[in-house]
Amino acid sequence: MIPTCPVMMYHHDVHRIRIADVIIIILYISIVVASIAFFPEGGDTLYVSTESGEYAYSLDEDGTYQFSGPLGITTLEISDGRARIIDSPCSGKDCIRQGYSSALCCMPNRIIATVRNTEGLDAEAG
Amino acid sequence: MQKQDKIPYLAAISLFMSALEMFIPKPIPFFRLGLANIPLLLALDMDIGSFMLLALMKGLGTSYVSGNLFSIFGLMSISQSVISAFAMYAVSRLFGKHISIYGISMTGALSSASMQILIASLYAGNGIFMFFTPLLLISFPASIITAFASSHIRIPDRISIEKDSEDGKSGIAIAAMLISGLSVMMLRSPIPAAISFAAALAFQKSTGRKIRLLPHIIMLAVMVVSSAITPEGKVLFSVFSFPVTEGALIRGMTSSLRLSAALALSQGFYKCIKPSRGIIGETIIIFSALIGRWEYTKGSISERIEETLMLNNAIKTENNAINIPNFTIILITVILIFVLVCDYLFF
Repeated sequence: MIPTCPVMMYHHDVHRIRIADVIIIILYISIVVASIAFFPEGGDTLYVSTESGEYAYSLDEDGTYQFSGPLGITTLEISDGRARIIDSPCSGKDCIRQGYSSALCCMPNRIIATVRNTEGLDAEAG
Repeated sequence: MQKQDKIPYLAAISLFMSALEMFIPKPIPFFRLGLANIPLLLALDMDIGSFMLLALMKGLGTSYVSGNLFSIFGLMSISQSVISAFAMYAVSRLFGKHISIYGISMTGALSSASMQILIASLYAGNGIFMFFTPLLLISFPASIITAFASSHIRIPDRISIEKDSEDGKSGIAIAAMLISGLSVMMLRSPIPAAISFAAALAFQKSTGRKIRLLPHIIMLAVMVVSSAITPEGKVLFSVFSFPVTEGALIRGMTSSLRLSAALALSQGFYKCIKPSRGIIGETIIIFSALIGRWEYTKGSISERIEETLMLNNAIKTENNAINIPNFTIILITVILIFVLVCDYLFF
């Protein structure tokens, strides 16, 4: 049986580089560079300090979390990239009135929460 | 070669290439070299209908050989194959003689890599994007190798296939496969996921399929790291001021174990499905013939590949799917459903 070359389009000179090859190579390189430049940094992180330990949550994901302190359970809520305290057993409820902030605390219940970005720096207040 | 023989023949070659690739060590599993694209590069002169059919066969075939046809990764593999094949075809028609096989192959690699990451991120979260750059970098030389290989391959004028007369699939096996696959993917907690994985491995062992733990371990590491990117829960320790949290680790472990279980199941069920007639059956027959011929070839790798592809003799094969007792199939399905129910009740 005589082997045949595969039928290929326009294979006059298979190994010579052509104009569209260059276009594709440039496109490829651009995408590689873009993937490095837009390397996902990750959003800010909420760090919660309690008597039982330290916790961390990404502000990218909504959620409600409970933390226990000497007075009871303080509930924090993350939504739309922000965090606030929505319930706490302290008497003044100042912490709830704070609303959304990047520095939250309920001192009576020994809960402190700070927002930091991925470099570990405190985010701007407010 | 006639078109109706050429499509299963090329599809069988891509299956064969996928099988060969299994023996090349990969830094990250599921990110393949792409040798299975060689038949696609050889088929660019076909009409779009035939070409896309071949692309679909290639996608199905690659999943089948990797043993992940019935899991999320299988779906990933198939859509990625089809879309990147279409990109290659489009680019070859768009640019005509202004693009060489290398440019076409690179286009395939680019679209393939992008699709893989996109689909993986739906499952593993945004952390998976960290692997996009290395994947792109690996795919580049791989695409050049693929293009080079395709320009040096020779295929026979014609082949003769003696059709296998055996027919049929087992309805029970297919139903069991779908149900058990689904049960596994719905698990939420790591311990049930681990138990399901163990059960699936036992099932895989019982079908005679070899067990390789290394891909599972690597997948576990990859998924845990990309899950850890999104912190959740109690901080266990910090790496360069980045918090590694309990919740994120558990999430990563659970996702990974679930997938490992689904993959082990696929590996087991792979043996239960018997090829029937039609294009799929023919492809598998040619594939078996290629594998059979490969074992008798000698010389260097490229010489062996050349000899294998030639298939000088008529193809006649035996159906070597093992008969897995229905009992085993039903047993594994029941076990997995039980574990799923326990997960939701107790964990």
